[in-house]
Amino acid sequence: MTSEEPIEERLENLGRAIGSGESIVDDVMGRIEVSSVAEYERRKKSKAELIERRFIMSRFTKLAAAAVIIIAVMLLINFLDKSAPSAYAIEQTIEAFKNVRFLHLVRRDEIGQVEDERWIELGLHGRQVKYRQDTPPAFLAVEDGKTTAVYHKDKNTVVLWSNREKQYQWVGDLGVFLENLRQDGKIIEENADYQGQVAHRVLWPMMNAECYVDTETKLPIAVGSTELSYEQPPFGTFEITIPEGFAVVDKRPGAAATDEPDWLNDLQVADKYFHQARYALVSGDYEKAAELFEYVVEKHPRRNWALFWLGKTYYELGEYDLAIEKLSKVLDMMGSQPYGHYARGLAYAQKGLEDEAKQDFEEALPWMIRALREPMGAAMFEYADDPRLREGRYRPTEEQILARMINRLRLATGQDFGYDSDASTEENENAIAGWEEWYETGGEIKFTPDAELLPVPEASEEAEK
Amino acid sequence: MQSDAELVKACLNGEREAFAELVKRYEHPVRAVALDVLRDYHSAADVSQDAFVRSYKNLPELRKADAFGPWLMKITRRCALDAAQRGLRETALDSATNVTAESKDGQLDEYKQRLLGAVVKLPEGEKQVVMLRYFGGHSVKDVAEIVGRSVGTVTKQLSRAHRRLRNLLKESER
Repeated sequence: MTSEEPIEERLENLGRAIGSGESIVDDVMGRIEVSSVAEYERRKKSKAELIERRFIMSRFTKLAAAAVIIIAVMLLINFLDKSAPSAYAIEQTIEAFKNVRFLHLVRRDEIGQVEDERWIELGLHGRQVKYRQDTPPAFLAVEDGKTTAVYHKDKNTVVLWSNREKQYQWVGDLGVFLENLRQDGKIIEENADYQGQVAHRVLWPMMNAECYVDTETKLPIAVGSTELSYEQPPFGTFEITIPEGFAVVDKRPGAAATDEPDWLNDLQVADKYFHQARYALVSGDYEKAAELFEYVVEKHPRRNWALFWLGKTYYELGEYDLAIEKLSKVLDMMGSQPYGHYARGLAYAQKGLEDEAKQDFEEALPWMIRALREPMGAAMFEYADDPRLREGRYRPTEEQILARMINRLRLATGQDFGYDSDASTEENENAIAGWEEWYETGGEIKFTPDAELLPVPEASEEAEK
Repeated sequence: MQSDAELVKACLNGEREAFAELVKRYEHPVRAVALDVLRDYHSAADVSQDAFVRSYKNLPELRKADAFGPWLMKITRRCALDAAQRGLRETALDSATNVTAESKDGQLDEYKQRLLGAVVKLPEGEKQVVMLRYFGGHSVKDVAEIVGRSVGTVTKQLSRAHRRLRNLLKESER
């Protein structure tokens, strides 16, 4: 094979080389068969052992049998009670959270491996008191209430900060999120199925995700792709320890001054730049934003939002190849995110890569269409477009979110069903129904950069802080 | 020809033959991904098996049935990286003796390895159709049915992929 050969021929040659050798179909199916049989036998055995143990352990078999019958009746009553539709109200979840002291959050990848694990201890009024985040392989942070320890595993160094100065969080102020659930949350389906378990399916707008609520405890067991539980953490979870061979850099007030390594200084500069870069992006200074975001992602390669906004900045600069590159990286890191697909779809469309653009828009469309009925569910599109939300300096209203979503839809698809913020409710209802029908019937998607856009209502004084 | 999505749904309904069909369909693309990481036929063959078994066990976790191909590729890559870390080659040489090697030491020649490296860098959609077409040996029509897209779309994707591959190879040959 040489570089002069046509690419199709080279691919065919490569295909032949890869395809040589025996097929593995039988081996794979054999292994699946064996593992399935082993699993079946294991379950059968453990069930049999359980029954056997029950009878061997009790010397009063008749009494035990009576007990078993009573338990069975109780279980049946319990089952019938659970299988009947329960009248669930979101308020019950808010109430249940009042008794929560610990949160355990786990996010897994497509094959079930833990990508991110967090423990949170809550204090009065739901405030975070202690925290631990383990995002393998590189990131670990532990907060014991006074000190935040950041473990830089690649540098064999632990940096200690005052907890007042540096704090990590899951969703920020949980109270604000619960208030959002109370006000804008919607029950989508009661007694739904969540991985074989009965749970209520609820839309939690600020989470930009659906969550599943346990029918008994009324607490969420999953929010989007994050699993939630509320058990006490293992001993030492919030304890700061220094692994053997690790250096310590103490940045707490009053600590003896030490020489800081250059890389730590770079990281701190990057944090400062991240803040400045977001404001440069919002104020339209794209050259500066690009320069600053580039520095941030160089120092913090896994800072997904910095990478996302860098992609957006390149889009604004008309550097579509770079925008696609950065946004593709983000989608790889964060998994499929509707706002990420939308942003990359625009960049593909500007490049004239219609198929790629269409594929991305199709990923985003279900969420965009749903947002027409549940605007608060599109909060992440807003966040993606306006980093000021990160600091809570700006809070869009439903009308603003809706207008911007209509504009995104017009831009990406070229469709316009006559939605107008000045039109009557009935006319706008017809417009939304038009979008829904268009989507459900697989309507045409045509990027329309000169689409007529709706004016976005002004932010109220209350919303703009 | 049944689409991936149809086969995945059949698997989830307990039809194990449907999974055998998916293995047949993707065994060479999967081997290619493993080969790109491990650069060794024997290890790649072992890892391919692991990837299929793991995907079978995790099939209920797959959120979108039509995304089976790209999902399987990710699993394969993960399995291959794990194997590379474990230094699988030592054991693989003993266990997989029937795998035909392209060359004596079970590795691709430099040109092919470079081309393979370029293929795995393609965007997901293009990578899937290239692998099914050239490594899986499927016709364009079959590829379209497998991925649930039109023949026109697949043809366009292939032609874009060809162009992209030419550029990637040019860059790597500089």
